[in-house]
Amino acid sequence: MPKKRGKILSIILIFCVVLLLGKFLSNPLSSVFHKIFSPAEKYFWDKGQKTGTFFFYLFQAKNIYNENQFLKEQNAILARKNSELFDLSKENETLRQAFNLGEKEKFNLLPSQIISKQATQDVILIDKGAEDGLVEGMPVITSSGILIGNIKKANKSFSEVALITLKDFSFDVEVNISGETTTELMALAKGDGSLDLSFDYAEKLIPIPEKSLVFTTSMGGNFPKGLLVGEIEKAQTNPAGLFQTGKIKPYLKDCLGGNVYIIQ
Amino acid sequence: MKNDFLKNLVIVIVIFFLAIIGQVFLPSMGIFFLGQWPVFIFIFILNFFKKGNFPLFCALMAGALIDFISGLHLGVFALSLFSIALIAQIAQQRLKSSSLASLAVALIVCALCFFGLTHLFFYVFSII
Repeated sequence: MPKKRGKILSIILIFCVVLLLGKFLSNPLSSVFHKIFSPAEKYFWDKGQKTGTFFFYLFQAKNIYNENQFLKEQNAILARKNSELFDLSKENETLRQAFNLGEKEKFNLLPSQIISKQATQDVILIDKGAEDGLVEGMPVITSSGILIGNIKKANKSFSEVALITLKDFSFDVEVNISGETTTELMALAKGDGSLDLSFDYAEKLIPIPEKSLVFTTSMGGNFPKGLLVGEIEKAQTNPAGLFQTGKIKPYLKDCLGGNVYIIQ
Repeated sequence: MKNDFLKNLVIVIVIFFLAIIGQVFLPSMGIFFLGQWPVFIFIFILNFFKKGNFPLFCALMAGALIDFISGLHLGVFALSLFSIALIAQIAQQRLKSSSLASLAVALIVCALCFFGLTHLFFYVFSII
């Protein structure tokens, strides 16, 4: 009996010690751990990415071939548009100089690498922290300008990044509806967890077609304007409701393998 | 004695690799839902078949590893896995038959408890 009591007491003691350590020493211990093991984490992340890519190509060969054909056609169209835009850009620059307007805002980017993903929620860990100048709220993007999320917590040597799909994460977006004229429709994007994203509060009068691109706006002050979020997967209108709601397919799903950049 | 030490060392190394695979390797491949489950299964089997305090220590250490790797509060997985190890040991003592069916039932019960406890401890740490 005393042996059993002793065992119960030691279990309670372990619970108390771990709870106290978790409350007061979690961050310093985590920082030390990531300082020591981040090379191993980076190595496994890199290897996992390569393995994932290998299997993806193996099972998606037919789709990739079709997509390649489609992209070649798109490339030809975009090359033509690009040459038109080049002329417009030169004209824009000349006009900016003529009207004494400042240069367009350029981002100061800090490259970083993903080291792991939290098991319970849509939060990833990156290998840059407060000692690299990161603070809470800084936007995180990919090299192609796709929005990933923002810094949730900057620890000493690593940071937690809240993905835009994190449950209860919300931010203002604009949906670009291409038709005879391009219309920009404001909405509120909301994270649903498990890498899912939805939108709400979009005006009911203008129907939103599938695959319309979704960008950030500067409203709300969370993110700079014009970062690509994803595309509309499904839009629906409740006859009794005032707004359109639906699902957004976030592009970050395909971009979590590579490096990320923090906008400083 | 030396043999036991080597066995235990191998177990610790396996746990480390399972934690890294679940938290880093699989998510980088785009598999996000497996995360902590390889470690959970290993800890369950270890506690079901090995007696003494070492499996409990392994559970605590494995949980702490997952907490560190995923940047959670130390204790969310450490205490969950420790509790599961205790449940698995009690189940192993109480179950009369060691058939595959009873093992499966114990595994399902432990998995449900693990799922619930992880969320409970996550909530506890977010409010304290």
